[in-house]
Amino acid sequence: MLTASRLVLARKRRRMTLSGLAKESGISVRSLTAFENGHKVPAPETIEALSLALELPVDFLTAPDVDEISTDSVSFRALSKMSALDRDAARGAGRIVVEINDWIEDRFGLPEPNVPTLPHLSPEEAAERLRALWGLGEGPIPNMVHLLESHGVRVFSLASDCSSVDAFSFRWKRTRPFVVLNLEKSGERGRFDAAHELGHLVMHSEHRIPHGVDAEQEAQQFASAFLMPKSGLLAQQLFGADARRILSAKLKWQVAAVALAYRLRDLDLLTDWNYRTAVKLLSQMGYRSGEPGGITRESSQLLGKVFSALRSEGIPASVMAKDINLTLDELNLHVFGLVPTVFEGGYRSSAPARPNLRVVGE
Amino acid sequence: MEPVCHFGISAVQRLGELDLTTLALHKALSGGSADARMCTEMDAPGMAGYAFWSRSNRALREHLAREGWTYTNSQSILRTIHPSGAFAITAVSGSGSVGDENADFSGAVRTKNPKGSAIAKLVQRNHEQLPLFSIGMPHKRGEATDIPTWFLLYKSSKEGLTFELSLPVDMHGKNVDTWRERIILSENPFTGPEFDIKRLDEVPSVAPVEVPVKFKGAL
Repeated sequence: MLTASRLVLARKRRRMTLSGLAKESGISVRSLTAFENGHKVPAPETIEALSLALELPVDFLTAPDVDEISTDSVSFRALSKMSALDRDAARGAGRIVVEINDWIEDRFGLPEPNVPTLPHLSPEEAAERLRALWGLGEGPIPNMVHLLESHGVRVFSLASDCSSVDAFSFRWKRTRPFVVLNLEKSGERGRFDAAHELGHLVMHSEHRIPHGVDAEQEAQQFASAFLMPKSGLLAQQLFGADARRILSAKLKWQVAAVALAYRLRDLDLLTDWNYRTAVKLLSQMGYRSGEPGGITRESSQLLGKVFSALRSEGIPASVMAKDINLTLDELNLHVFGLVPTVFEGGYRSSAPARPNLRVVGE
Repeated sequence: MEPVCHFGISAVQRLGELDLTTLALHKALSGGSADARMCTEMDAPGMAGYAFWSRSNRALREHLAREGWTYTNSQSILRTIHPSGAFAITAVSGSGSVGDENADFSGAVRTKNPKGSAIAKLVQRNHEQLPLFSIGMPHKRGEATDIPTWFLLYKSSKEGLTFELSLPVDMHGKNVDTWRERIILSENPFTGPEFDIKRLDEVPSVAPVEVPVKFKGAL
């Protein structure tokens, strides 16, 4: 029997309106509305048609009810540019990663959440406090994803069909923190997004709803301060740094050159004029739209270890996918593409190639 | 009495006899290390080392306070005192083969910074009290200067931190360098260049964060 909440989740995950799904499945909008409201129960062949249109197994649509992630608990970057469809698609993806995480937590001992909530502090203070609490000193952070995972944040990748979203985060059931990252951006951008979402988790949990321009601005400032601590930059003697110096200095912090320039201006280490000149030159060199010669994308250590342990225990990833009622491809979209690739097919040995022999005369 | 070095399980047992745990030593060193790493080149020279010394002793005290340990800073020696008053511990920076169980008991492991007359007296006292001193036997509470003092020696290098808890009995020149007992834990969570406080402002070589993942078994 179809589970109404799952049909809604699947439709949103696929970024479809009711009329879009109607077009794709050949089922009327009126019927779809009735299915989603639970007023009408579809026949098995109708569920099959929905499954095909939504590219999700029938089991996904008939599994037990799911709670949605509430809109208020999620932070989205670039909220103003997002459509409701984009937002719902991302929330749907978020709900799926919760299911994946539940499956993993049932089978693996993982780090417990250790992300304090510091809603009363300014972004700069919150970043400084968190660095102290986590014993990070004033140095660069080698890997943001691993750092988050080691403090109990579950990090997943955002399916590429939600590309209008950079990243988002939420605390599931007000406790377990999640960060979901878009993998299509540069490595430096990915680190910044991860730090940005950490800012939301730290500053905008509990009574502060992580929405609005102010919240986004705060998370941005947090990320900047967390990745590039003031005292570290001061010690690096970056006062009045030009574009060339910024390009050299950014390697230490693994941030985008423009992000470092911005941080230096914020700390009054660059004048407005210095900043504009440096950014203009960086833009000409291609550092506005991308990060030439940048770092590689960070990936999940936790998920890598999970898949590796499953493989050594002889449990194929398809079991996980089946339990969560996903296709392997859909699962892979959420887990940094870390699902081990299996080449199906039996053993085949080819006949040894006959060596070319010839008689060689003396 | 022959000097002795406890390593592995024997080290953990010996710590237990002193009412200490691996965690207590780790807490002390991680506390010192985290604060030392807050220092930059714009701090006073030597600030990282000073921060490490002060904060490792503080972290040790904070961890042990709930179990009734007390402390004294008398003569600028930061001692944490066992609830029975039988002995004390002080965390100090070391040099040489700190944490190496094969090192000689004399000369190979030293305190890093020159020590003055207060430490000299304390080491002399340790030496004189050796035949009398045994943990587990009741001790009457005396002045802090009268009781044996163990050194929690730590050393930072490119590979990270090494440490040991050792009972000093002699010094040569200004350095304490002879030990009656050495306790070296095989468990060291402070390996990796990020624990080297002298290299704060270099781009760290790969210092991976470990995310523990443990398979509980298939359901």
